[in-house]
Amino acid sequence: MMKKRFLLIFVLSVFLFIAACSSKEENSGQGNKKASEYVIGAIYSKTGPNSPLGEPEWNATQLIVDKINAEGGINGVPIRLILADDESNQEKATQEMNRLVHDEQALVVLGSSGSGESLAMKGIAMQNQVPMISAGASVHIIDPVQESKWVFKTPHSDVHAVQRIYEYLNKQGINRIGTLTDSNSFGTSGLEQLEKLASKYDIEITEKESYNTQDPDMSAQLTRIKSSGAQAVVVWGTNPGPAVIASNMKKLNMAIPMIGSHGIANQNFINLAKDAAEGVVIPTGKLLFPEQIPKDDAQYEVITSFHKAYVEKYGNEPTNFGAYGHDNIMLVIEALRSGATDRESIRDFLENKVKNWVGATGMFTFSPDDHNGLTSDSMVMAVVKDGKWTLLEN
Amino acid sequence: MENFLQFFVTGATIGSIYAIVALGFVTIYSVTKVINLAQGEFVMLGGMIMFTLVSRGLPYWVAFFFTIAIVMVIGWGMEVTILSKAKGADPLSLIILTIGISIFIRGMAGIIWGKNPVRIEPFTANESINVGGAAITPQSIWIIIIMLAVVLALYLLMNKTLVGKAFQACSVNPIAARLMGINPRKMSSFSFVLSAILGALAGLAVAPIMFPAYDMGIMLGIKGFSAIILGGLGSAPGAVLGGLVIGFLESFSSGYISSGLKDAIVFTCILVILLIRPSGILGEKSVGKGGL
Repeated sequence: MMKKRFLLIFVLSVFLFIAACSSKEENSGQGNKKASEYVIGAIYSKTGPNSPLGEPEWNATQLIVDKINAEGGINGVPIRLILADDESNQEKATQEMNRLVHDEQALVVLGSSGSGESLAMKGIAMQNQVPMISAGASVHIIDPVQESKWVFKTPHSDVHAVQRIYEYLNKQGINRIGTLTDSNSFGTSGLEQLEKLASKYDIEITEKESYNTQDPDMSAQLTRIKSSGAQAVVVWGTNPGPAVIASNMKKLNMAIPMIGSHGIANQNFINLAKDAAEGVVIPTGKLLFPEQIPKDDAQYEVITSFHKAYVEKYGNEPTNFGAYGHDNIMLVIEALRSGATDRESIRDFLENKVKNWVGATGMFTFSPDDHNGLTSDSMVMAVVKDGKWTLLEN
Repeated sequence: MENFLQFFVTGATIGSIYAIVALGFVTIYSVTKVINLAQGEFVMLGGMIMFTLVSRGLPYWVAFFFTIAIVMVIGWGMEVTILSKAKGADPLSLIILTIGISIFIRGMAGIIWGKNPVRIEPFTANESINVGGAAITPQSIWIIIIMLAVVLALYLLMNKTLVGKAFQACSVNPIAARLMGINPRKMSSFSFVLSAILGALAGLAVAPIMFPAYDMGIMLGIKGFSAIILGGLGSAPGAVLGGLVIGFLESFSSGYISSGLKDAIVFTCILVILLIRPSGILGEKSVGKGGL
């Protein structure tokens, strides 16, 4: 008897749920035509391994949309932001992308945080002709640009970071390096660029090693690099790997410098490695140290006001990832303000009208040949000094 | 030669970390035939709770024992509230339950402590020690000492005390054990408490080296599980041996062959060993007999 009743309740609630879903779809479909609201979808990795990236992106997006809506929306039309969490999982990213594109009829989709998830979403964006702005690092998200008509990205690509590092090494007179890269997609993509650009900057890679993000000890790899005669170790990964490597290098008494990637551009790296972090050099966006940016910098205004608003609301640092979230949503708002309010015109606006646009990550100039829009001089070099990231003067 | 020594020392460090995690699996398995896949989560809790207590200003060693006590209560609570309620479920269902528990604990930890890894100070000074040209940190030595102490304590408990005999009795034949006046339910609770303690101890020992985060349990759980399969299910010395073999394989293969192929080499070797000895290096022929 009890079982039957449960079954009945279950079936009824399923029907109710389906009914509720379908009525919602109709609403949003109609809403778009009347433009009573602008639907913007955003998929970021709020949970899972990419969450240190996704969380600031998620928060920054929410922060800006709340601010715009509080000010009365764009030309009187409010934004309806649909945030979705892909759990750092490519299948989930695909699912959410389909939902946002088909069910919610989003004008544009932002995200995701990881390169793999972004690449999974790219296919759907291309197929359905929906503009997408990714926060992933890999250059393949927008390369080749002929096959990425609807896809843009705002973070620095690995190639910018590698150029920055090699320029720095040239200045220091270092030309033999060992690489130690994470075996995930961030690390392998970094290694790819390190290898590709090495000959251009006259740099020889004496030893290529890799590790898994959570390996407890990398002494074996470092020992190999040490005996290969490298003058510096380039480490490409995100926490905690590089912190373990810094500690291991100190343990092994390695005198050569450690060069990191923009993946460790956060205070957490220094908190973990403590004194072993001293002297580690990385390329980074400017949001890492807003107070050290000179006042005459073109980005000064954008960076400081965003940083202040973010810290006030969330009580922690936005990091460079917050800057990606900021730039992604701001680009869309810019397009909507200019009157580009459907999928096609938003894309055209991004590609043709964004010239020397000042974002938190850098100055963007998109073109039909460049959907990233940044140059390597939007990155600066930073060094750990007295337990803090410090701007390294060029 | 100097490199060889360094690879050896590194392998011993990594291997001991895996071994100390693997030991936690052994106690529960030998009593209940359940492989507790939430064991890695106990290790993570050990590290993270220690971090909270120390950052709240508790003295290091007070926090150390409090951490063990808290994780112990969590392990006991897990057995009493969830696993013992699944009356008469076969070990396979219970194993699946432990997967659910591990996902739950990991999710809660992500909410409580956030996603960033944390730093915990080592037991003693952090200056590395030079052994014939190879560097080793004092914390690595502590891990080896704790691991050996745990093996010895488990041996004494199992073979020299009445509780240990009761443990073994439950493992071999629960019905006969009950006829002899042993309560298998109680023994099962006790085994979870014991392995929670071992998990917490492992977490405390490896935290200063590894920078624990909420998701550390997955990787350590897999490596610890591989170690007990390799060493022989239910055997404490086997768990240690299995952990050390994996550690040395990882270190030497990244030292002499390629760090990119490290995992492939390790798991190929494990497969080959298991093909030759299906019940593990020190495992008994009939797994059903149990025993520690």
